[in-house]
Amino acid sequence: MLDVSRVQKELADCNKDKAISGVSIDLHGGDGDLSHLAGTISGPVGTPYEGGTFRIDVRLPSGYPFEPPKMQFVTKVWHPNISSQNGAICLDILKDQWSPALTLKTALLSLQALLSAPEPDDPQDAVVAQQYLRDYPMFVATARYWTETFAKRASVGIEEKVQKLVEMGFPEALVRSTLDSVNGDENMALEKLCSG
Amino acid sequence: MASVPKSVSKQAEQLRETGNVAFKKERFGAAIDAYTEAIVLCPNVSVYWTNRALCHMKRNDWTRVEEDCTRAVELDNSSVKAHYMLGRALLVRQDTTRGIKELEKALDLGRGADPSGYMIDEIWAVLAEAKYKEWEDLSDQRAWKLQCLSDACRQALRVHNFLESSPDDDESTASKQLEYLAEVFSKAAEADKPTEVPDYLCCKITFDIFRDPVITPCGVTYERAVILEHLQKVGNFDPLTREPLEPHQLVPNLAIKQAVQAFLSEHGWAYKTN
Repeated sequence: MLDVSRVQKELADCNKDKAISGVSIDLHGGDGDLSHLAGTISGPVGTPYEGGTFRIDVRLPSGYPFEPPKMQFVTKVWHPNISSQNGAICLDILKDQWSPALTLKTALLSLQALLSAPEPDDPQDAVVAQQYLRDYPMFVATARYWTETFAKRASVGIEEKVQKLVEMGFPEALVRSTLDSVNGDENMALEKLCSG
Repeated sequence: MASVPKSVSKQAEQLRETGNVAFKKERFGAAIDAYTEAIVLCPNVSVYWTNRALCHMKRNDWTRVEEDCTRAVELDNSSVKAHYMLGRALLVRQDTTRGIKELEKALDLGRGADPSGYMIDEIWAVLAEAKYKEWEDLSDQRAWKLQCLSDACRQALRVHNFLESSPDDDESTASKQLEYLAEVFSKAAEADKPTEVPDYLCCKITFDIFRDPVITPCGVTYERAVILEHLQKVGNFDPLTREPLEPHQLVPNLAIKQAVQAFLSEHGWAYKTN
């Protein structure tokens, strides 16, 4: 059974110094489900990911903390160890090197460290890894472009999207939370609002 | 005890079986009847008393729970269930001090028998709740007393300053004294203010205050039940250092256990469970 008390403490602990650590974690939905969380990490300074905010989908298996959390990038990212298609992550501590002494915060910090120090020899995305090894400047340029395009989009122009959806007759608070849950994608938000 | 013939004790055992079957079907009245008959035949078997007490507990008949468990404890002082149910019965009739004592005894006995048993968690939960309530009551009393004393001191100081004041006196001396008085009283109330349990008294896996701490050869301390679960489910290594670790290498960390007890006796709010 999921250790609810531990997860609650982890959330509080992780968000206490999020301004300094650059990682934070919150509930994914408003229904209080502690097994589905949303993490964010800020792109490390001095890397092509600088200035970007990356959202991570976090699912806790019922065996947590004796089983690793399942993490996946929601924000598209160009990185040898992260799938450019679906955001799957290749990181040992999220697999066989997990230990219950690790936490959601340390896992997110490890992801942040992974952004700083890619390991192209153990790739998740072969195409990106090839480019990283053969044409590094091109890799940096692509990674930076993806950061600009996908990791900064959520905050840019969000007010316009909110206004547009509110004009369609949806309540503002709902519009904001829905937009937030789909990482600022206007079309997906509209779909969700209509189906909800 | 030796005077009970074998045929009689066998009959009593059969009655216990009958009682157990009835209990499982939640027919507590029938179970009580069967256990009662067993007790009549063999009044010196502690289990018959605890089994009947459990039926009474299910029916919220706490007076009878207390009677049966008291007898069971007299017969077998090492019965975890007898101490546990007796503790709960005592708590129900507001005898908190004795109730807590019985629950602590049950916890100690239970840990010795099966450190990761399900009853341990249940006993701890009841004990923690009782301790928290005890702290709440006592801290309310302490806060009230402090408040009364603080008001009286403040009043007395004002009167004193009024009577003793001379034209040379600085106005601010009096207000500084009052300020300092408030500071002293707020410091006195600090121990009863819930804050956070220090990290060194918390398990690195549960993030919770230690109950039954054990130390690994690497010197890291964990909650016993949880490190055992880790060794069973994840692998034979120390979660923090990743050094190889086998269950038999775990040793109780008595110093931390005492430190936890000392902390809890000073800061009863730390008993609060979610």
